[in-house]
Amino acid sequence: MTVRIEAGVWDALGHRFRLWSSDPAIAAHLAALYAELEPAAAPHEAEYGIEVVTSADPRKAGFVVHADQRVSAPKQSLGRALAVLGSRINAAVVATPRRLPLLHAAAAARDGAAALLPASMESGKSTLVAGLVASGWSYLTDEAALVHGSELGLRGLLKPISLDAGSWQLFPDARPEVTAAALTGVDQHQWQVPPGALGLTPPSRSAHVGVVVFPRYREGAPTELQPLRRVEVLESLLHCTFGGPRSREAFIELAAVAEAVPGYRLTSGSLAECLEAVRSALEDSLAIGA
Amino acid sequence: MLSVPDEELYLRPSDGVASVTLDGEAVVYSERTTGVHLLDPIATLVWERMDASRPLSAVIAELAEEFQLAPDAIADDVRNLVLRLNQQQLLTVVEGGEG
Repeated sequence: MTVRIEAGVWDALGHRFRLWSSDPAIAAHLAALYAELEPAAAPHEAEYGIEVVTSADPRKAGFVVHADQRVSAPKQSLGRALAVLGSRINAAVVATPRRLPLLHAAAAARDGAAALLPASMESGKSTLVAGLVASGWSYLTDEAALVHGSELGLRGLLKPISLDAGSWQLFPDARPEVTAAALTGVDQHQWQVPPGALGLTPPSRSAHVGVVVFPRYREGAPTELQPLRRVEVLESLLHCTFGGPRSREAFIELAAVAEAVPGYRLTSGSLAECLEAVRSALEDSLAIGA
Repeated sequence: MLSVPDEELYLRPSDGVASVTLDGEAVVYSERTTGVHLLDPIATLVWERMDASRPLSAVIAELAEEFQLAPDAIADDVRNLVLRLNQQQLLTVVEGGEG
């Protein structure tokens, strides 16, 4: 019988879930990581947890991820277990039926105006949004954004920021620390970073879409911020919608964003230049709107 | 479909189809296929007239006038486009038209 210490119950863009761990330090860590999600009082529809399994057999020992009825093989690092747990939650959030389109995107805001950063995996959007948060922007998401185009509104999936090893040297102070005897010496696979570890500005649950920037990290590439035609913005938004646009209404919401908000493609190999490009794109957009 | 004379052929977007025209180019979405279709500016002019308010012959006449061409010079191109859009289930024939 596994002891399940509750970390919390949350609502992530309509997906209500409970998190637990068999280890009190990991439960506290999970509670801190997911603290920005909306607390849920209603019954949850899914449970996720990390069980610490000790065994003389190294194949059976480690961090076992529970995701409803699915149980993973033991992971040898807490970092890997947290990444698996996060991807299970993300997948359930994406699969939750909804009327509004859910974009594969990062987003951060200044004074209520958001830079929406849609991109596929490995485009550098988590690193970019981490950089924005570290420069004083308000975090919305590094993974998924729900778009209400007719009101130009957006809600982000306020999960912890997932930083791959290639970005760690950019944010050395964000290195996660979990203090538990059982976890001493655990290596990390991917950092799961609460936004508060990067910046002091509180995260936002929602914001107004001020600009759309499609980022693409390319090592060594010069920074290029290329304005897009509105039809290209819509085409790219549709491409970045999880599962494609699932309804006529979802298409109309995205079309409203493309119609009203300037869009750019950003290619760069420099985080500092990316931050400046996004800042200037948002300021230009707001100046046009004003 | 095009066996119906142009004078009696009224068309509108099929149910579940949505479109938006951005900078003169239409983006058309079909809920049935979840496909997205990008139309060039000329095709967009045809698409925007597919509201079942006038027959295809009137659409051809309007476009011919806009481009200062004889209707016969563009009729086949318009019919072929309409046929393709119908094959992709983006257009529906409306008997007798609407409005």
